[in-house]
Amino acid sequence: MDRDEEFVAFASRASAGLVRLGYLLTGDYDLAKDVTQETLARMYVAWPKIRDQGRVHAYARTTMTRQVHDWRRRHRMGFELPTAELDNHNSSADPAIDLANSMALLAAVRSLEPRERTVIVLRYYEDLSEIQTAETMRCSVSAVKSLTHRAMTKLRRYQLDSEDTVATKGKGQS
Amino acid sequence: MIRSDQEDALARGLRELAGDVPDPGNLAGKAAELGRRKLRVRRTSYLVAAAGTAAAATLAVSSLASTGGPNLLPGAGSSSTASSIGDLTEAITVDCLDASGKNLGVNVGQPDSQMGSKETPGQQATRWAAATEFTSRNPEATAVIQPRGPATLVIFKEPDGIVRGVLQFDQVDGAWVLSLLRYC
Repeated sequence: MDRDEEFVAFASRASAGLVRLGYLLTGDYDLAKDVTQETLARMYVAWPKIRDQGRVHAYARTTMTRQVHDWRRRHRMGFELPTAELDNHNSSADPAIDLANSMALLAAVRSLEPRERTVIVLRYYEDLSEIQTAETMRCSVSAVKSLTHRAMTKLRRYQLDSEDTVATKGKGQS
Repeated sequence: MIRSDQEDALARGLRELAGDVPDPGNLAGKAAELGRRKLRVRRTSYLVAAAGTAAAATLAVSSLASTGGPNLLPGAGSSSTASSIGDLTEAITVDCLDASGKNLGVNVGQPDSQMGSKETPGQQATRWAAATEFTSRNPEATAVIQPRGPATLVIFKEPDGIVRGVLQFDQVDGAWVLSLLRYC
């Protein structure tokens, strides 16, 4: 199997997973597809080396994370939620909102700073250790710990705020 | 302190969220094509670097000062050369693909002013980059200076080796003259 066949076989298998990771990192499906394509293109260039070293998936994850970071920097991207979306989230009829709820979780994760979001996705979606996360993000382990702590605190606060808002609206309606 | 069951719930929620993402279809073919293109650019850059003399110097574009500089003549084609020794920039592939793979187009031509200067090609290229906002468009690009016989090329490269611009300077009466440009 030549380089192209081998790479295309890998990319066909991996692209859906990379788009999912990209979606969690960016919160935008179309951007996730673009970033995945660029990630795979860079992998094509480095393919013989990363294949021989047996670190294809780690390389993909690292390249994807850095691509998202570069994209944010170049396009000065923010990830703020539109107000309408936040309102929609807060006016849920169900008071038992928790972080396992997809919409609530998406809104909560999107409310994080980019690096906080990245650390949460790498630690809890990709199941990376603190050391692996630090290597992927090119930062120290203590920075990973700090970002994780900040992000989890914000997520918890976001959840409590959501519940408070729902409870207040519920009282106002009675 | 966040309890571990909250972390478990977060991990479960993220997986569910990711599970809702639609299948992107076949990205492999396009990615391979984009990769092949990157590889060609990298090889071309390598060959150009190998052909140059050993006296290559690298300087950070982003840290250099901003003053005036020559502008590019609009619509000037690659065949129109103001250089007496020919167009050396033509052998270097300038890649203007953005991060999404969209081609932003290469500007090719010659400056509208060809005043000689005692400044080195590196200094002139730096002024040009700042004056035309090339530096702000390509903040990570660095300039590699390559003497090529009677001319000197200044090649602006991204950290991953992708070339974003090439400037050719010719030596005329002891002064360096910017004669040809290709850039994003």
